[in-house]
Amino acid sequence: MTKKWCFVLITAMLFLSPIRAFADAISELKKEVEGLKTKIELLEAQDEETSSQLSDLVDISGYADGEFKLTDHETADTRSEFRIHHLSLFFIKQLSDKWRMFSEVEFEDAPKIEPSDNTDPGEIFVEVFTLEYSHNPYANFRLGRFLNPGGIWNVEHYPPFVLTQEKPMLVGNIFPKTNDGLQFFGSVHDWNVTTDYMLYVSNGTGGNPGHGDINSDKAWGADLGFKLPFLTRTEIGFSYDRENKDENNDEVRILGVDARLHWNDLQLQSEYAKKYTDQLSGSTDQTIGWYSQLTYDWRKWTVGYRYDWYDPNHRNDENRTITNTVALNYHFTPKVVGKIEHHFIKDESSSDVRYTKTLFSVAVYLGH
Amino acid sequence: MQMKCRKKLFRKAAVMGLVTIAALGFSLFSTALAKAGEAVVVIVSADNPMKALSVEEVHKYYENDILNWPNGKKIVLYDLRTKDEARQRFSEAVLGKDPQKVAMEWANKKITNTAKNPPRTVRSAILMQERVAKDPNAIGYMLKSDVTSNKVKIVTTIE
Repeated sequence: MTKKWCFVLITAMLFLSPIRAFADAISELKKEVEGLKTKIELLEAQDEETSSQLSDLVDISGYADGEFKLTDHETADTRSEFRIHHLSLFFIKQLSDKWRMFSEVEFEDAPKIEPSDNTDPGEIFVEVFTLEYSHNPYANFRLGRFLNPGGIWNVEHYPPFVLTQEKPMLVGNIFPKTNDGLQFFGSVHDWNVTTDYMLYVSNGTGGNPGHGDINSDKAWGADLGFKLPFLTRTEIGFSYDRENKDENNDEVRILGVDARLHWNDLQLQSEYAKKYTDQLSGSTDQTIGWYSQLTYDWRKWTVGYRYDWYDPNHRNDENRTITNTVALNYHFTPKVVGKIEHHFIKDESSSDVRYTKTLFSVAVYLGH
Repeated sequence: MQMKCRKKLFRKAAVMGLVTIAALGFSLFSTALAKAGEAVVVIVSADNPMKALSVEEVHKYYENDILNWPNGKKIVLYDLRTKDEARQRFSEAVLGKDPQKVAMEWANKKITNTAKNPPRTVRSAILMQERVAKDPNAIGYMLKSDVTSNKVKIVTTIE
């Protein structure tokens, strides 16, 4: 009996001592892990402070994209070719709580600019440069070169974030791409609706408006946007732009309306714009463009379709161009997107020509 | 006899070892399970006069529909990194979107100069807690168990 109890006691000791030791070891390891975790977090905090101090100097970001275009309609302007489309750099500096500088320098088509050679089709230009003063959410000012706020695509046009490399035809052909001047803008939220407003006065378009105004009167415009709680989110915008006539220039009036409807992963985006050009001769030309684009996001994929209609001279019915586009995007990472887009083009301006264009491209966002 | 006893002893030790490993595994698994089901909380500084916020209000702050606190001070938004579990659950529950998509929307707004009040991203919950504790205008979120400071207060709980 005593032998049996001895055996039980020894066995229990044999089992319990390693368990106790094991528990102690775990407890020590836990303490060590906690200590290491604190050290790592402190190092991360220091690293973050350093990064924040560095980014306080100037925040640099940008994007780049390249593509291969395949077409069955080769002309002087359209060929099957590789294209180093954009390399764009953004420099943003928060000067104080209220003052901020924003600029974008764009290298388009990898230009080779030499003093003796000005025939290269590429472009290096300051697309945006603004100095901003933020008084409060309702009153802010922006001085410099800014993207014209007319419509959606003219502002939100950067390749890593848009469905296609080819832009809808109205973009850049109706509203001016940029304006050089002063912009007043603000935002109000009430009754579940966010209203964004913008007014600007700027040099007229043409030439290099950053250097000198070509019109004797200034251009001016306004943009009003509403964000409504319909579906997942609904955005509606109205835009107006006007350039006055003088002895050398036509008068231009542009009206635009745009809408973007979000319903979970489905998005419908549409823009319509009409330009009236009162010519010196007394006649009025009308340029009209509109498009509707439907996209659906599924995991890393975005699939989309766009109907695009453009008429540079509305008085002449044989001038329209209609493009149907299907596109597929794959987001390799959130910052790298691969795109395939196929365009069916019906160009009535040149004897009803029909052709197709396919683009394969990769766009990269370079920011953090 | 001695050989038989040793074998028995070895078998018992093996069983005990397995039981210990299984218990440890279960404890780790249940901790992870508890974390996964844990509530995400929205925090502000203890000095912030807000006592509670609805999910809808937090949504409006993070969507930049509302830019200022009721006292007129500018809201300072904090985000965790996109892979952080709290960020994923916050993003799905409050913004109704995948955090990667939200991050890309902010990147787009940044380069189109249309971001009104973008959030600042911090690397961990402890850092977010520190930043929010220091700034009475700041707002952030984290897993409930990560709230360890009395310098922050919980204004919203997302189950």
